[in-house]
Amino acid sequence: MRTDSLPGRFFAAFEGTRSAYPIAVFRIAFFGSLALHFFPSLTNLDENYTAGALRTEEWNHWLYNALYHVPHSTLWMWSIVAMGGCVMGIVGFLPRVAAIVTGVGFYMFASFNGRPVQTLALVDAWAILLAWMICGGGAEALSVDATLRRRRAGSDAATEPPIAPKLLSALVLYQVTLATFFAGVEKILAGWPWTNEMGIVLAYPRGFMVRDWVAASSWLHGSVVTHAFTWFTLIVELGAPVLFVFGRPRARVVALVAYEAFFLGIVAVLQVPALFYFLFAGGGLLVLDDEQVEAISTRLRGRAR
Amino acid sequence: MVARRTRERSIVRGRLTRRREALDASIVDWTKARRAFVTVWVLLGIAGAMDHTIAEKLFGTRVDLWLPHLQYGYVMFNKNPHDPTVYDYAGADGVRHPLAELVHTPAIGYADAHLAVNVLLKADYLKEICYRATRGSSARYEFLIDHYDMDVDPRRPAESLTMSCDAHGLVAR
Repeated sequence: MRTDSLPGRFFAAFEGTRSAYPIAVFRIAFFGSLALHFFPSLTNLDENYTAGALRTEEWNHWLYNALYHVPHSTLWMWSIVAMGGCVMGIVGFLPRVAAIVTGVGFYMFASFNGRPVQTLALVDAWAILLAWMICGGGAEALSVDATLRRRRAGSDAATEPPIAPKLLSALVLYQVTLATFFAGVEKILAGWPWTNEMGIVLAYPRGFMVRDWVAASSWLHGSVVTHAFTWFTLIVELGAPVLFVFGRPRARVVALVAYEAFFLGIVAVLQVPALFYFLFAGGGLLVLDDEQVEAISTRLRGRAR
Repeated sequence: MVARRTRERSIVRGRLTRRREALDASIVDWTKARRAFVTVWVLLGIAGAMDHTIAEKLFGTRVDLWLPHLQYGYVMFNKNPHDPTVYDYAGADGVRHPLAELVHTPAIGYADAHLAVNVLLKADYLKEICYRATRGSSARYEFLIDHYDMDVDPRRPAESLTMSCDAHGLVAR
């Protein structure tokens, strides 16, 4: 298949290698936020994962019923293994094994009781963990694996910039882009362009969905501001994914800036889990190509000096 | 002796590697396999996303696509609730605090929202919080529940309810 044909160009995004830094940064953010999301309930099994705990069924029906009969000590052991897998992911040690242990372990506990960990960001987390289990990788830089590999290779390899297969990066970027785009589609279908939905959200009282400073700020409740936020939401959710896929490098950077500002705005205004923010904001960074990554790291190195 | 063994081993290893490569080439075309996987993954993702948006809108029903990441859509509230409820509590000092402070398992950065959605999913959650907060102690709390009607006045509750919580349970006052 010729690489300049449409299918060739499409598959080129998933083939070959690229700078290992973006996926490494995403790995740390993703597994780190999974830890923030799951560890509090997994270190508090009595309240969340015992037969007497108040439970909600949100994922696997069979696991929801089957785990009810598993002894408490076994659940303790499984929780420690799952958390260990997540830590392996953060530090970048055997990332495929880390994804399998984390994915299976966290999915099992979320199925046993969805209540302590419920968030729609889990939909994307399962997708990314599944892709990670299949593809492996993501630990070519900023990781224990990379350090061990460098030590084994000696001083020759130390000067080579680390590279990683494109496949995993592209699948993660695809997942966050898809979710963002279809979140926009769902809002269009729900009639957002003809209503002022952000007017409702930003007017919520303290203690319901919004952060306290939002409830206290009168300037955020005006009709012009809330209409602007409604349209900004729709434009970014529908526009950024399109530019990520079809835009030229400069357009992609502009889209990325708007996309990152959007998710920073969400986490500043709304009470959302860290997993939601780091998954989407971190995933967006994978749109940067090697030249842009190099330019950023040169600038960072210059500042550090 | 040792050198000969090492040489023999490396010859055998080389033969095995060549055989494995030949086998790989004949059975699996990795580029094709990767492209098939990417195609299936991308199409499944789109199918899942459409399943929760367009399919539901057009056909009024969804297809179970079995995989965990295709089970739900991507937005929690397409239509934001117009009747939010805020949950607070007061202890012995009478000072009002967010009820989420009584929950032992922290929801870092989204405690109030987490509690509100949990009560929405399972109304018994308030009883659970009371039970766990007072278990084995003589602590007493008042749960202060304010319902708002956003279409009338988003600043003042339309209805307020106080519930007593102690080791005996949660009772409306």
